[in-house]
Amino acid sequence: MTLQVNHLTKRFGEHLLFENLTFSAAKPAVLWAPSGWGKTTLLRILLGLEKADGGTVTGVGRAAAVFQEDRLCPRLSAVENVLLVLPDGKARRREVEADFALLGMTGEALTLPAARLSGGQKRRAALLRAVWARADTRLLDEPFTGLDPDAMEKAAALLNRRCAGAPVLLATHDRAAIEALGWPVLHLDQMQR
Amino acid sequence: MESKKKSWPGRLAAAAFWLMLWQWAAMAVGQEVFLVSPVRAAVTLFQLLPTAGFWARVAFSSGRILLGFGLGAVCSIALAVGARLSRTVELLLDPIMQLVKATPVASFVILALVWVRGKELSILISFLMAVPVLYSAVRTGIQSTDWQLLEMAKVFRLPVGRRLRAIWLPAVLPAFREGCRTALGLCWKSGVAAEVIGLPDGSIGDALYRAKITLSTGDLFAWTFVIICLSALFEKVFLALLGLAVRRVCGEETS
Repeated sequence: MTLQVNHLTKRFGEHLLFENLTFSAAKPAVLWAPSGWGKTTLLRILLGLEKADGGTVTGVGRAAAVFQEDRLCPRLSAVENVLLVLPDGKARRREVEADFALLGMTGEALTLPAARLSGGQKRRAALLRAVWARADTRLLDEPFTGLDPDAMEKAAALLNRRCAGAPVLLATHDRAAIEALGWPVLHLDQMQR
Repeated sequence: MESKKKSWPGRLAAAAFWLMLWQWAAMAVGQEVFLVSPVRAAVTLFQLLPTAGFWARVAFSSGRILLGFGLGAVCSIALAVGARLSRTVELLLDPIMQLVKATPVASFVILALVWVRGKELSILISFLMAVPVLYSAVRTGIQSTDWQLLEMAKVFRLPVGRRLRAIWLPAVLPAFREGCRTALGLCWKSGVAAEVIGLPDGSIGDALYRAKITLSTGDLFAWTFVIICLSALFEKVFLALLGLAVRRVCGEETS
């Protein structure tokens, strides 16, 4: 499946966010643009949560996302938040817990309600939810926020292992993350025609 | 928990103070028909407790008032969901709810006597008292639902059952629980008031009325105490069960 963005335009009132944005992605890529350019808005358009003022988006299919916010159900544990989006959730508990362990989350952190987790722990849960969800396209908005360098490298390795070969668009400013991922970088500000 | 334990002696002391004041006032008045003493009221209550008639009245009134409350709860949930789904339903319901909320119970009771038999009156009145309170509570809960989680559910295509369990119920149930607390108290007050006017045989309201016409102030106080206890008991039991259901369905409290 190839995600195709054609001549996408978005403005908020008088303010033009981007115009004639065109690119495609069949494999994982990093979305890069200056701060305030509109990466989050672009991802929201791709997720179908916001309407563009012009242009088309095709090939998103079933999407999974890491939002700008963690958006975890506060009463559910980190593992339950991941299992929530899986059709065969309960059967996958062990495997999901193993992935949490890979990212340095074990023991009590896996049983606490999400509301009581630290920022980094919540981000790990949000990331694993997007990795585990059944999806054609993954759209990840700054998924490494709040992770220490070690956890970030492990998360990048996990993404490389699990998501290679499918469209993943990951928006980040973090140079270290871009290096750790080793994915091609789409410079959005240079893709407006 | 510690502060609750500490407050018990204080609460007992406050209750003892008011009981003593009541006893003193009854002795000062000196006529039971005007103000019965707490001792006399307690004796009357203990005389009522072993009689079959007492428990039959309790069952009669409790059953009807709780039935009215239950029907009101089901109806108000359905209406609040309808109002969430349709702006037209919301617009149609708003004035009705305002009207029901503002109308005096006595007006409803007298009007309802034209429509239903005295026996069913307390069901209808409890229902009418519960609906606007619970409708408003459920709507508040629905409105407080986290829109970011709803977006998440849309993106991940969560089935309705999971959305309900993970997003809607955790938002709605706390408000619903508070609504139930208020509505249950209102149902008991207005349900018994309806029985006093409708006078169905074998009800608590009928016993209150008989106490009034026979000037049995001891009975009046004893039955009033029973109503307060029943209202508090059902509130505690219902809220405990609801709390259990909330924890089962939605997971642990977060705060």
